[in-house]
Parts: sequence; structure tokens; C-alpha cells
Amino acid sequence: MEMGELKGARGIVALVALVIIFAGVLFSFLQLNGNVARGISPEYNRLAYLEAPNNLASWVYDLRGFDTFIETGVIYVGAVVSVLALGRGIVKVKGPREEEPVPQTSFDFKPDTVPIILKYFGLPAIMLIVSYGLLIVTGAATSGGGGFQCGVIISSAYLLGMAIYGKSNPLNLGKKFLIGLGSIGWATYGLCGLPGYLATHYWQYNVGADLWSSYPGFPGAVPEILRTVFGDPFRLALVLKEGTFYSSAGIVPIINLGEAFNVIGALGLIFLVFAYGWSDRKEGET
Amino acid sequence: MVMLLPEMAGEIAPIIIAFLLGIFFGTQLSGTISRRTTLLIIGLGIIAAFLFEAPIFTWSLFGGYITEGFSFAAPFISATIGLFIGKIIRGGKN
Amino acid sequence: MNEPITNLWSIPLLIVIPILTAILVNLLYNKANAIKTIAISSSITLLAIALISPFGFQWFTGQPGVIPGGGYTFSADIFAWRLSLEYYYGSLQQILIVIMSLLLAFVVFISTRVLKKNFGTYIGLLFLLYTSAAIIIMVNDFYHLWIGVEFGSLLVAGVVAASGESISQKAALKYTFFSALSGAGMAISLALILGLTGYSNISDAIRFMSNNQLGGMSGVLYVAFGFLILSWIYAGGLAPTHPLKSDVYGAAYPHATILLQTQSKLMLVAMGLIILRLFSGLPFAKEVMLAISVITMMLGVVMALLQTDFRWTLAYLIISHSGLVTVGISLGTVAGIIGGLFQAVNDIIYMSILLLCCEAVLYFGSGTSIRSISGIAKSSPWLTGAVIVGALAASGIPPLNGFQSELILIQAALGQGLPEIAVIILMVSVTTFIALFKSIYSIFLRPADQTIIVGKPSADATTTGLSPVPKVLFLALAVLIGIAIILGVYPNLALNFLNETAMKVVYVPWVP
Repeated sequence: MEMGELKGARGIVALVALVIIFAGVLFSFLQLNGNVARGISPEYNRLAYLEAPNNLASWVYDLRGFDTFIETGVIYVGAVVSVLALGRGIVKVKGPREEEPVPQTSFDFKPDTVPIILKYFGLPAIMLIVSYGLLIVTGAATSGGGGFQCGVIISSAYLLGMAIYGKSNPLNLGKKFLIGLGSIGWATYGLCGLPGYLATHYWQYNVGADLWSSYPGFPGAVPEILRTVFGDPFRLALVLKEGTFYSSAGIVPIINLGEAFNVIGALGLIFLVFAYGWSDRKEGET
Repeated sequence: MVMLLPEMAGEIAPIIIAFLLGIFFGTQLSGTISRRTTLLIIGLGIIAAFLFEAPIFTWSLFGGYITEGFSFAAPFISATIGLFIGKIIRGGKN
Repeated sequence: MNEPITNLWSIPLLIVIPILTAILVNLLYNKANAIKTIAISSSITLLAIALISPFGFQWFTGQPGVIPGGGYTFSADIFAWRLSLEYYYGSLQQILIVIMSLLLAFVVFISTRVLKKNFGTYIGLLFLLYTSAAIIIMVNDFYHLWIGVEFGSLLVAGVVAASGESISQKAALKYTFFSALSGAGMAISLALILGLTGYSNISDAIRFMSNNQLGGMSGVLYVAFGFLILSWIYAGGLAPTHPLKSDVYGAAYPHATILLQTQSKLMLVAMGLIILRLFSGLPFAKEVMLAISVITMMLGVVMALLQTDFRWTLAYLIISHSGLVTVGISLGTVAGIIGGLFQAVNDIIYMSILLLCCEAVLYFGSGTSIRSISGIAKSSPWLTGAVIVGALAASGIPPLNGFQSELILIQAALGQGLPEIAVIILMVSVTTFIALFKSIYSIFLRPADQTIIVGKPSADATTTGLSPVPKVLFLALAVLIGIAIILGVYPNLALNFLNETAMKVVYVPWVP
């Protein structure tokens, strides 16, 4: 849409609509100010710490874990569709009519103009940023960060490499690698639901933490082996005066790894393709 | 409750996972790294590891067992070392 | 009534199987045979699951409900606030998902036959489109509904952009831009309802609102209603945003449009029912919905009359008939809702017949404009028969399925004391007939013009350069026409699935 279209009657209609919308939203938020019903959220608070020391991790990846699964899908689809708009996976019906897709010109970086000091510190910086991303994802269950953040951090390292070194990026993630990483990430997240599903028919039931299987009325049972495999590697001890309490985040750390892979793949692919365009040829060929 | 793994497994597992992921991403690194750069990265990494970890309230190797209130982001260092190892294994030169 | 099961086995499979299939075929990208095998077997599995599944709930991640007096429960029979994300698979969900799975299987089969290489991504997007529609029709949670709508609108853009022509790229871009408004509107509405009630589960929110007087806060409810309506309009392509959706329908390949229109109708039905359940107590709520529906119906059919391309005629007719679906739901009575839901089922079926015929016309190689192609009846009489049956069903002529649902809608409108609506419904069906027969006469029945080159699709595609009409397309047509006739003669086969839903929406709105 061009700005010229907003002149005249259309512009007035748009303006009036915007004013009405703003007034409505403002009025509602003023009304709600101080009157927000707490509803179910205290209950979430009461339960979250039983799994991960970080409540946020419990909410996002367990209590509402399936929401996050589909949101992860939004990121994945966003990458697939962006890349599709530039040429990957455009389909043609077999037939005589041929309209070649418009050739994509790649955005031209000029890495020669980058100061030498940036080139010298580029690689150390990239390696440290990648390490930082990995620290964030491994601490997902205990710290405030998680899979999304790790993905964003590592893909920003990738972007940094692209900005400083151009096509000879030291963090050399190829097209196939990125697509594979994104797909494996989302699939890992999806398959994390399988053990719980097989044991209890609840998809993504956290078999490692296993909060509910001893509660009366719970359908299904979690075998000891699943609890050991998914729970033990991530068990933490909380030492207090009252005693030592054990908790395990169970599948949450694994889910975060999948999430991180998915975000790295998706964002990296978007960066790569928007900078250099897409061609179905193999890398290295011209 | 039967525990096959030690009770501090939740502290150890991130270090191992970060190391393995470091190797994984290290295989995608290219470019030459001189000895001085290597030392620089490890030096900066150790400083960063002190900065990046808050003293946590769960039982931990450093924060509860060795010195109270002392924190050190071990996964960060293991990830950095993993990156170097991965690069040696399969990193390309450029 | 509801089964108390909260760990129904089929619901996660209906969501996760298409997602994993999509990931896999996207990864395979150009390995045609592997993609074909995986996609077809997966779509048939989905159909089988939808058919044999019992009814019930799925509480994802297995978190219990919180009993108000204290304690937790895993049974849906006991009154409890839900901690988990809740999906419900009932009779309405079953009939719609079974039909959608059938269409998915046909569309996947056809597209693997007629497309050139590199169709992995495209097939993947079709599967995800199916997932998004399944999510929206089964979910009983605001927050997740919002995610489903976002996911769905992104996928619509992807499927359209995949056909690679400049017009489709443009339509996709426009749609992405504006459908962001749909998601945003819904997010605001969700935030307000969460603020008012504290529950993102729709049943819980309705229960809370009926048990507690909102008092001076009811103004907020109006704003939430407004934003939800905005989102409904954008998601379903109702007036005044119909040009966006009709561009999408016209610019995608007709076989993809089959799934696009199915998804869009499922969204309209699901969101429409949720709006009714939440807001039917508000004065003017039904009137606003009814006004939007009537305008959509009339605008769509008038625009369809003006088109000279079969694809675009169908695109606008789909819009117009979306209005028919929502008219029924907006009436808000049991009869009206049954009529609207039945119309949605029928609409999906007869529009798919017409779109499949349009797809076949495309293979003749001269486009689908009434000026560029004619005389198909001579070379392909079966196809002509099918398109005429489809047109008759769409125009509501007995003994085909469109007649039954339009009859119910007209009776419901008269029962509400709204004869004007009944007249408009009749007018729409007559105009549909005229619009369709303009195209059908020119493309199929008019004798072939000497100046127009008419290709006969042959089995030997390499010599003529034309794609043969695959046999599976005729099979799909036969099955769909069979369903259209069966539903036309025995409408109770479908109505039995819809009665219960309509009763629940009107009398016990907190039950999904």
C-alpha cells in the first residue's frame, strides 16, 4: 500500500477507525486498572516450582507447553514462507505455460571496508556469543532464559559473522544445515510429547517430573524407567533448614534444546536468504 | 525413590550438554585461529563465566558445596572448549 | 452428552501427525516418490483416526482441573477450573475433520500427480493448513485459539505464494499484511477477557461471567466483542475485507483453494460459535453479526456475476457462501445454528466439486477465462456432468445437499420473524446459479471456437506439453458428488452430528 492511497475519503475513514480503536482500548485498560481478576494464575504459581526452580520455565514449557509447541511452529512456518517467497519450493503445474520466477538479486555486503580491528575480534566475539547461547539453553530450567533466547543469540552471532566477513563467514552454517536444524528442532519438541502420551495418553505429560501419577483418579501410570531416563539427569536439590527437597524439570530442558535448534534454523535461514537470495543449486556452484 | 545417577546430576548435565553442543557447532566453524587468539578467547571466556552466573539457590558444585555465594558458569567454559574441539575435528579452513 | 474422558488418544495424533509429516516432506524437498508415499499414507491415517475416534477431551500436558472447594480432578464431569490446555472432539468436530481429511487426501494425491519437481515444501504447507484448521475447530481455549489463527493466516499466505505467479505473490503479501490485524484484534480481545475473568479456558471464562456480575465492567466486554468480531471478519474473509480473501482464493491453484476454503469455513464456524457462546447475552451482538453476514453474501454474489474468469467467479462465490454459513450462526437459534453448520458442511463439498472441475480446466492449457477456452463438453463429457451437478448443488436445487441446508436456513429466518433474510438467501442462490452458468456455458457447453485453441489433454503429456487430467481427480469428483446426493436425500445423516452442538451453544454455552 502506498501513502498516496490514504489521501481523501479513505484516509478520513482510516483515521476515524483508528481513533475509535484507540479510545476503546484505552477505556478498557483504564476500566481494568486495579480490577483484574486473578482467575487461575495463583494456581499456576502454586504448582510451578514443583518442576523447575524457575517458574517461567514451568509455565511456558510444561503447564502451557503445547501452546509453545504451536508458537514454535509459527516461527518455523514464518521461515519456510519467507524463503518460499524468495524461491524455495515454488511449484508449477506440468504444462506448457512457463513463467520463470523473478530472479533474486542478493544484497551486496562490502566486507572489505570493515576496519581491520573488527576482523580481528570478529571470530573471538562469534565464538563467545555462541558459548553464551549454549549457556542460556542449558540453564533453561533454572534461569530466566531458554530455547527462544538461545536461538536468537546464536543467530545473532551468525548475523555478526555475515556483517563482518560477508560470504566467508567463519560460522559457516549452510542452507541445508539450517533447514535441517530447524526441522529437527521442531520435530524434537513434538516428539518430547510422545513418552508421556504412550504412558498416560496425555500428550506432553512431563514423565521426568511426574507430579500427578500418584494422585487418585489419574488415568494411566508412568513406568519407573521413563521417570529415570527423563527425570534423573536433571534432578536438582534444594537445601533448606527444613530439609533437602528434590525436583526435576524432566523433559523441559530437552524441549528447550529443540526450541533453540528451531529458532537458530529459522532465523539463520531468513538472514541467509534475504542476504544472498535462494537458488536450488548446490552451495559453491555459481 | 531409586536414583541411579548422583543427586547433583542436574548440575552436571548442563555442563555435558553444553560441551556436546559446543562440539556440534564447532564443526561448522571455519577460519584459522592463532594460539594468541585461542588464549584470548579462553581468557575472556573465564571472565565471562564469572559474570554470567548468578549465585543460585539450589545445591550446586560451586555455589553450595565449595564456597557459598561463589558462582561460576561452568557450561560456558565447557561450551567454549567444545567449540575448539569441534573445530579441530571437522572445522574447515578459510 | 460429553464423555468425561480427559485423555482422548486421537486428538494429539490429529495435530502431531500432520506436523511431523510436514517437517519430513519439507526436508525431503525434491524426492518425489518418498514424498508421495509419506504424504498419502499420512493423510489416509488421519482420515482413519478421525473416523474411528470416540468423543472426549484432551488435557494437554496432563495437568488436572482445580476443584473450587480444594483438590484436583482428572474427570471432565466434575466442575473444576482447567489448568491445562483443553481440546474437545465431539460430533461437530468429527464430521468437519472427517470431511477435511478426505479432501486433504484427494488434494495431496492430485498435487503429487500434477506438480513438477520440488513440491515437498508445498505439500508440507498443505498439511500444516489442515493442522491449523483442526486446532481451531477443536480448541476450547482463547490463548490457543489466537495462536491457531496466527498460524493459519501465515499458512494461507504460504500456500498462495507457492504458486509463484506475480499475482499470487501480491495476494499473499497483502493477506499477510492485513491478517496481522486479525491476530492483533484477537490478542486484544483475549487480553481483555483474561483481565475480566482470569481464565483463558473458554468454558471457564463463560462460567465465571455467568456466576459473577461484571457490574461496571461490561463496557470492557463490548470492546472485547468488537475486537473479536474484527478478527472473525479478517480470518473468514467477511465484508468489508472480502477482496483480500477472494484474491487468495483466485490466485492459488484451485486444488489448494479446496483446502483454503475449508480452513476458512472451519474458522468462521469455530469463531462464530465461540462469539455466540460468550457474547450472546449482549444486546446487538447477533444483529451486528447478522448485518456483516448479509452484506458479505450480497457483495460476494454481485462480484461473482461481474467476473469473466471461472477461477475468480468461484473465488467470489466462496466468499458469498461464507456469508450464508454465518447468517445461520448469527441467527443464534437452534434451527439457525444447525442450518449454518449444515451449510458449512455442504458448502465445503459442492465448492470442492466446482474447484476440482476448475483445476481440470486448467490442465487443458488455455487458462480458465471464458474468453480463452470453450467446448470442453465434447472432449470431456464426464467433467461437464460433474460441473453441472456442482453448480446445481451450489444453487440449492433438490435433490442435492445445498437445497437441504438452504431450506433450513430460510425456515430459521422465517421462524425468527425475519422474512427479509429469507428473501436474500433465495436471491443469493438464484444469482449463484446465474453466475455459475455464465462460466459453465462459455467454457464447457459453447461449441469450440475456431479462433480459440482447445487442447485435448492426453495421456502422452510429453508430446502435447499438456498435463493429463489424473484419474484420481475423477475419483474425487465421483466421491464428492456421491456425498452431495446422499446428504441431499438423507440430510439426517449429517444433521445428527450437528443437533447436539447447536443445542449446547444455545442452552449450555459453557459446555464445548
